[in-house]
Amino acid sequence: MQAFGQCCVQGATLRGIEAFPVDVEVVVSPGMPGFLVVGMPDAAIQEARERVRAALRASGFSMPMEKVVVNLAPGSLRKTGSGFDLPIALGLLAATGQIDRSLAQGRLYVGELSMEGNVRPVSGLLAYALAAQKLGCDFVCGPSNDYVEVAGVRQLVLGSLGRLRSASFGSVRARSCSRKADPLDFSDIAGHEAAKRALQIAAAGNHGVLMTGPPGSGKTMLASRLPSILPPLSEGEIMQTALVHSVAGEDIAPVLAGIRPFRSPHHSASAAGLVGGGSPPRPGEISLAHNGVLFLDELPEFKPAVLQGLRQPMESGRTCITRADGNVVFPSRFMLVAASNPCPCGYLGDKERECTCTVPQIRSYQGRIGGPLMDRIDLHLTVRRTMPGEVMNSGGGTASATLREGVLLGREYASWRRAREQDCETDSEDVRSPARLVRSCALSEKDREFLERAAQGSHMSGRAIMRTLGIARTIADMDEALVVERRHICEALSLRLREGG
Amino acid sequence: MARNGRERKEEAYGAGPAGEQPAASAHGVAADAQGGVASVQGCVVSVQGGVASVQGCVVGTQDAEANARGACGARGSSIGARAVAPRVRHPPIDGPRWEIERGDALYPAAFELVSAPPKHLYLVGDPSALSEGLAVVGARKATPYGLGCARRFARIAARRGVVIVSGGARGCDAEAHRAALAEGGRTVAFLGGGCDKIYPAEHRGLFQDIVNAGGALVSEHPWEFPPVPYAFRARNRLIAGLARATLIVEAGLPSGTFSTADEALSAGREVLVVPGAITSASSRGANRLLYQGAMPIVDDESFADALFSIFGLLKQEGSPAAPCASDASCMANARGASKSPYAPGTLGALGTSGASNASAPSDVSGAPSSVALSGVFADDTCNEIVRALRAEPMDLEELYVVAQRLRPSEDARAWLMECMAVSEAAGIIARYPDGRWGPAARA
Repeated sequence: MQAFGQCCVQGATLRGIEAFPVDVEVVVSPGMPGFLVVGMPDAAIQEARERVRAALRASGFSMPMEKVVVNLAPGSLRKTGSGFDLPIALGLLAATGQIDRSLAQGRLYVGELSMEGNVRPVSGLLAYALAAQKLGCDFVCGPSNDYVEVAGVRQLVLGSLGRLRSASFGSVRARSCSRKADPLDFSDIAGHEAAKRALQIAAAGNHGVLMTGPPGSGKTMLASRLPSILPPLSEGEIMQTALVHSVAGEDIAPVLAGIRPFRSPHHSASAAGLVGGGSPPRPGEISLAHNGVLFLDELPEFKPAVLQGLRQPMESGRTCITRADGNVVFPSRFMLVAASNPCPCGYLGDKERECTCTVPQIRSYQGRIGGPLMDRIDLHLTVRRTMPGEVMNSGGGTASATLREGVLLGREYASWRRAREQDCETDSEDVRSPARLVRSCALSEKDREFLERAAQGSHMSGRAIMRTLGIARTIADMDEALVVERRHICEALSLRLREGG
Repeated sequence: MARNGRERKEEAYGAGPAGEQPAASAHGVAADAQGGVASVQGCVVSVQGGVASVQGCVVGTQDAEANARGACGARGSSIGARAVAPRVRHPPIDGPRWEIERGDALYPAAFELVSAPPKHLYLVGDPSALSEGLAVVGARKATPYGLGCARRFARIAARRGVVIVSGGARGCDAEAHRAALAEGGRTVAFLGGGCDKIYPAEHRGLFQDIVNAGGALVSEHPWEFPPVPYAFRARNRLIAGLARATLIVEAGLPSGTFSTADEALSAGREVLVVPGAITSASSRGANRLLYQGAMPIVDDESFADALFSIFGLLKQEGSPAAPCASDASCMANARGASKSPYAPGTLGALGTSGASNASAPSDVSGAPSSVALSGVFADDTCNEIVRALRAEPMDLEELYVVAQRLRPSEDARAWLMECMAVSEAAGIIARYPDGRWGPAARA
């Protein structure tokens, strides 16, 4: 071990869903014995000193008695996370000549150290791997289950500090995830054919759905089976979604298998939990639902302020969290499914039980679902309780496979049609410009009159008419019809929101 | 010296009977007509041109303060009604205000037959509207069917000069009031709380229109009395009591409407009931009343017959100068409250008014269900679904099952959707507030 020296190791810090490369410069110099970390580290990084010290000793290396200064460059970027343990330890060992210097070059090291010298994985490995891709170097981290194949990056595993002596890095086994049969299938639900049809339409066109029904009518069951009829994630979508999940520390295996995420936050969720936030900023439920489904059960129970905070992300498909040291952007384009009781007691419209609510109570309860969410909801679905006899028939209803066929058919037809219309978006866009939508529907004169008459009779607003057209267009896509016909419009009308919406 | 020893200082508000018209003469002790406002100190005053007659102490209103003066009668004597000025500068409802005591000439005789006749009536509007008319009551959580029936029959009755009496509540009551106003008729609303405590608040415009059209808002409780639940029950006896007959358009069981029918029967009034499907919970009370012997109203003709047997010869439709059932209604017609904001076709505020846009045939003849769907969808294929819905309101799931049964071979769903859209556009079916689909009566 040599007394003085310095070394620079490549590390990285997470900010949002992006990993920024950080140079970890370790300098061992004469002076008062001490271990200093500079460069705006956060508390976890400060604690790294103790972990590094113990890990070094446990692995049989020795801690230098001189002044050790670790600089995390660039100096003005705030560094967070416990992933700096490994590069700091490596730099220290290389600077004091206890390991081969060349190990520190050409690799990005990210990892936390245990007190015994083992390397622990940190969350966000995919983001770091992508950073390594940008830097053009290898990526070394601790043993984990969540590896994703990233083009052009050699990913290596370091089990413990002791292995550095022999420079024995393991190679990464990227998970091959095949899509197992979903445990949740629509055939579990008996009856509810109209509901299944409505969900099929919503899935095909990425429309927002509101389910209204008494307690125990099966709204949650229906919603949780929705991912089973959604098309699998595309390559690009897998990467995006896995990135967000990796950063949040969630299991990415289902994502890698192509299963769309299904997030169902409890209605007591705070704004930060739902939209994202905290310090350092972490993705919220809506970002975790990116490319998937966000299910808001018991919608009127959500705090109105929290729901208001959803307005902007839903408009733009991105969540922008602003902090003093800059903005962090998370993606958040999802399909919205909401469930609610029709009234405070829940039994309005129920055949068996009488509703005990007064009209003002009902109105104020239904009025709680207002504003930004109603803008994003295109389909309104009433779910009834099944009769006891029917419940025992479960297993015989329309299965997910059947419904999924319709969904895939609709989506394929829609993208073919759009490509034909020379649209530039290829992924399903749920914000359609009205003119484009009307053009793509290509209604005949009579059908147009029919729709106008129906709209007038029901006092539909312009927005409501557009929504109906959008749904009709999706139904026509599922029917492989180039032109929207009257029967498509009729079905769309039956699914529209009530109260003139 | 005011009555009951209370000194009351009132602001001039243009109160007093029909303040803009000059007081022609005063019978009695001393009367001055000054520029359109009568100041009377005395007993009996008759003012022509506005209200027919006022007995009692009419408060003189001159510019600033006015005192109630004169020999106001003690309770129990012939004098008991007075025009009063509102308590606040901007009352919720503008209009002439009256406090009528039991025993006064303006006090409706019909109230003597109800249980616990009210000692005082507090009224905004025209007291002569308190003639015996037709009460139209129904459920608050009304289905489009009930609303349509209320609208239809109230309109027919109002067109014939019958005063429509109801409770001003949400649902069928409000529909009946609006229909009467649309025909330019007079209507009376009995409120649960005082007339200055408007409940429900969203009916403020409706109540103001009722007063402007020559009708009245009445309460047996003082002006500022809060709208407490027991008061609403109690006022049902007044509705039933004032009218010669009570028409129930829709009632669940149990319901407030049902109790109104009971009150009518105990006051010896006729009860007319519109039946509903026996499977419909919203008509259970109405059907039970029929079983107990109420008169069924099954179409326009039976309603016209009932009106004839109860009210005698009424003015024929379209002839405004025919003999009236009572002086009051003649005056109403003569006053010509013709321009009403609620003319048919502009019922924009009401959700189920799609039917009013379609051409409505003459109301006198023809059953509601035999109207052709003018040019929209002329054949019979929709009727099966419509009939099924008339039998029992259903939601989309059940309709699916029915459609599958009716059209086993072809695309049942597309056919069902088309039927529903067309029928809804024609106003034959509508979406109920609880999400089910069911019949809607055309107005």
